[in-house]
This record gives sequence, C-alpha cells and structure tokens, in this order.
Amino acid sequence: MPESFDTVVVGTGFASSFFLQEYLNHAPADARILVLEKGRKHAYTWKVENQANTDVDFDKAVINRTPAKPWIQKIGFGGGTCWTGTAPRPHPSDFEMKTRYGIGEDWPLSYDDLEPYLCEVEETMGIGGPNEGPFPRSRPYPMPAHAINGFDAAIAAKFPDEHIAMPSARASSTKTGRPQCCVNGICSNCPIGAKFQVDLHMAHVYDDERITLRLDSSVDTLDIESGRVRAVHYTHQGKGYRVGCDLAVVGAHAVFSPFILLKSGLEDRALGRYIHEQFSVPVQLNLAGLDSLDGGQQVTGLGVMFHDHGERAKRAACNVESWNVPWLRAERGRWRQRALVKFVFEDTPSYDNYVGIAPEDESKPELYYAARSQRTEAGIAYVPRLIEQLIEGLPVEDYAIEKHEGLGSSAHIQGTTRMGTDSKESVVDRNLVHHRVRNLLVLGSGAFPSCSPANPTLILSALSVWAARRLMA
Amino acid sequence: MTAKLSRRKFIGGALAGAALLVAAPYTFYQWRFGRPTSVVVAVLKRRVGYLTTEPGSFERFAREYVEYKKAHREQLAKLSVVAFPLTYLTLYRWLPMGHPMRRLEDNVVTRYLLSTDFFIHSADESRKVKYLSFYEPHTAPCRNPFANLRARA
Repeated sequence: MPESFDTVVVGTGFASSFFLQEYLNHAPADARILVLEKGRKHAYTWKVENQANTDVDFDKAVINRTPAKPWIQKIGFGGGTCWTGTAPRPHPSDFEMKTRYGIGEDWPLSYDDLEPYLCEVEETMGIGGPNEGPFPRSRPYPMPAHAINGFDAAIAAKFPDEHIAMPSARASSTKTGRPQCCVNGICSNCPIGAKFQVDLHMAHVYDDERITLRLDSSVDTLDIESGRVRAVHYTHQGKGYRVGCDLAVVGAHAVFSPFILLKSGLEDRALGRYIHEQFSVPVQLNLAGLDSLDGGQQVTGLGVMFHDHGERAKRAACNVESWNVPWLRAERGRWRQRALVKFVFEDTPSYDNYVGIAPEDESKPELYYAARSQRTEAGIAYVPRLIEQLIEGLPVEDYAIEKHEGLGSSAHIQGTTRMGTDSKESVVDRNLVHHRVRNLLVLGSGAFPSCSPANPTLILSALSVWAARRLMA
Repeated sequence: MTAKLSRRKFIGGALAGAALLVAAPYTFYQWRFGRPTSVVVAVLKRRVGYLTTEPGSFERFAREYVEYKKAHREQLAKLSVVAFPLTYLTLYRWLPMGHPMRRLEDNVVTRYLLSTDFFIHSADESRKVKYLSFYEPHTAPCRNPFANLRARA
C-alpha cells in the first residue's frame, strides 16, 4: 500500500518555509506532512568555505534557449539563498499596474491586503528599516535602520522621504538574535550569519514532529484526477516513489513549480508563461571632496524618486540602490570619495517568455526569453538622464555607467504561475490556490502578475503567510 | 638624389635605436618570464610609496594578492611588462572609469590599505603603517574599518 500524507509540500525555500510555519500553527496535532526537497543540506561551514550555497548546478538542471539571458537560482535546503537580505517593500502602485497605467494585470489583492503580512514577515526576519518614508506601514519596523553612508546623506538631503535607509534582513542589532552586520560585503553566505536565512534561522520549522523531510528528492509529477491532486511522484537516489495526499503545496521556485505542473498535465494558458525579473544598471561615481562608504551594511540606500513618475506607462519605474562596500579609489586622500548606485528596473511580463518542458530531455525545463519589454528598454536608455537628475547639485566629479554583455540576471525569477481572477489569464487565485485543482497551492514569486522594482523575497514570504492563513481559516 | 643626414638626426636615431635594443629584450623577457607580483609592487610604490611602511610589506602583500587572484595570475605576469614604468607614471587619470588598469590600481590599493592599520589610525600619514594580514573578509569577516555600526533608533 502506498504511503500517504495529509499534505505534501515541495521545496524548502522562503515560500514553503513561511507557509509551513503558519500552517503548523493551525494544523492538528496528528497532521502528517511530507516535505520533499530536490537539493541537499550542507553545513553552513561548508557554504562559507566553498563560497557556495549548493552543489547542484542550476544551469545544468535547465535548458536555456536564450543564453544571452542567464537565470540565477540555487537548489538546496533553504532554497533561494542567493538572496542578500535586501528587503524593500513594493509600492501600492505596483499592485495596480493595469488600473493606474494600463499595463499588464493588476494583482488580485492590494497593498493594503498584504500589508499586515509584510509586517509579520518583517518581524520574523528581524528587518531593520526607517519608519519614515514612502511605504504606508501599520507598525514600525522591528529593528532600527542601518546607518546610511555619506553619499546617501547627500541624496537624502536633496530628495527628502524619497531616499531612505535600505530595509534589510542583515541584522542592524543583536536583538534579532543574530550578530550585527559588520559590512563585510559577503551577503550570499555571510560568514558571521548576520543575515536572516531559512537554513540558519527557520530550520527549526522542519524539526516539528508532524513533518517528514526528505532531501535529494526531486518531484516529477502530481497525479491529478477529477480536479484534485491524489498523489505526488518523486525520485530519490534513482528510485521512484508515489505518495498519496489530501493537499499539495508546490513551492519549488518560478522555474520548477510550473515545470512540475506542466509535467502533471495541467494546461492553463498562463502556466509557465510571463517569466521575468528586474534589470539593473550599475553606475560608478567619483565624489568631489565627499567621503562615503561609511554606512552600516552592504546596500545602504533606497531611492524611490524615479518610481511613480508620470511616464511609467511608457518607461519602466526603477528603484535606486546605493552600495557601500569598501572599493576605494587609488588616489591619495580621496580613498573614500567614491560611490556605486544601481538603477533597478521593472519589466513588463510577456506571454512570449516562458518555462516549458524541453522536448529533447523531458526531465528538464526549457527557458525562453524573447526580449526585454519596450518599457524596460526605454527605462534603461534613460539612465544617463536619471543619473544627471540624481547628482545635479551633488559633489560628483565624474561617473561611468557600467555596460554588461548580455542581459544579466537579478536572481529574482518571477511570474510563471501568476495569480489572478481570470483562469484564462492566470494559474492561481488570490489565495494561491489553483483555479481548477482546488487542493493544489502554488507558492512563490511565480505568482507575481507584475514586476515591482522591489526585491521579491519579502513579498513572496508575506504571500505564503497570507495563503496559509486563508487556507486554514 | 640622396637626402643628407644631419648630425642631430643621426644622434637622435642612434639613441632611439639603442633604446629599442634595450627595451625590446626587456619587454620580451618580462612578457615571457615576468613575475606576477612585480606589477602589484609597482602600483604600491607609485600609489602609497610615500607612506612609512615595514620593509618587505609590499612584496609580502603582492605574494598574497597573487595567491588570492590565482585565476588572474597569467594576466598579472604579462602586466609585469609595464611594472617598471608604472612605478613612476600612470595613465589612471586619463583612463575611463572601469578601465581594467584603473580597476587593478584601485583593487591593489584597496586591499593593501585594508590589510594594514592605516585606516584604523585615521589615515594618519605620519605614522608608520603596520601590515596586519591580507584583507579577506571570507576568513576575517569583520575588518571593514569604515563600517558604521550605530544603527539609527
């Protein structure tokens, strides 16, 4: 007789972990939950020593049809630990792109709907940030904001309330229970563990006796009959298994989640489509007589002065990140007269960009990205004007806009299992439940119908808490 | 009709030829057998040579830098061709920001100064600069002397 569980959860990243943490608060004491993780679990010392999060090569796990557009993701326990802890909020307007700008789709929930959940996730992560600023908040940040640097202070004086200390999961205080960030610039695997991350700070979720965790277990398909998931097929060390379940929760990232659903025979029009992420343009600056690089974390400043501009329908919005790693200038007495900013642009999701099943090797997803949207291209082409607007009146000697070969990756893959009210245009509803298979939840940034310039981890984590609470209500 | 060679032109030509005779084998030798550390030392002599440092600290840093930049060892060795002139002059100011040579100078100087107690003592040029250990945040994470740990309440 095949094994059976009440719930099977796929993946152990932020999406699954925040879902599970909330789900366990409501699940009965005798609940049986199986968690399947494709990757392995490495000791943190291994990660620091090897400067890697995983021994799985994501590039070899997929077939990229457009190599000029790389995609970055990590597969392992704790999931997307390529995150560096930068945790700005989205803007309310990011949820209403169709209504406000006639672009793409609105989210089926508003900023106000999600706001209490953003607060909860910020509490769990110990986010430090400023309570003043452009994002409506119902409660203060749990931790104080990091110190900004000299260049940030100059920008903030010019753009009051539009350039703030970057909200961050890099601990600004030991009250988080973690060492305080000491600005070593190695955020993907912080050597002192100052940054909140699943493998270090949410591993206890998986110690719950109701959970059975199986690593190195790659989910192949779901058995779906009469609109319900009946079982999950997975492979562990070359051997196939089938487990029955009453509820399936797929949180395997915006590439493997749609891939699993496609392999399971689901044929939603939007499934796997609309893959997208942000694009950033770095600009190096030499400052004239202004010392900087003296902030309290790697990315000290967040500028939103170019976000809700009047031409957003035609030209993508962007956030401005101000970086603070000690890259000095080799000139006597001007060592710290230097700055680095990044303009981080939204993209407009396009149906033409997709994750599918590779015909030549059905064990792998294929990724295709036709091109950046015209709005994004227009935004990037506008960077010389933006930088001039940013620095006008500030002590800047000269600057250089960095150019990259190819399109680069922000490691923020989104959009492939988008949420919405119309089952023809989306995959899941506002509670992340599949439109037709009602015992199937699909978590993660795949649910994003539009692309905020903000980093996705905070948002997708809040969505998981939202989904778990509404499921169990 | 033959052009008459002036004495001045003759001497100039002879000097240029002699310089070429010296420079060509030097350049070839450095390109073929140059040590990757020499360009690092040259950058330091030019950029921070006015500081009072411990004898041998530039060379020690250069060895550790080359070890750290293993993947770029060959490129650094080739750059030994310009090590000698780089000790005395640099195109840094005329090169565009982001140019590899400019990046190299910034990187070498950054790592060297952060490997010393220079910034710990407020960049005081009158003090003797002590070499602490190679600046490598993966192994010694909390050595950024500019980190401002006073979070805002």
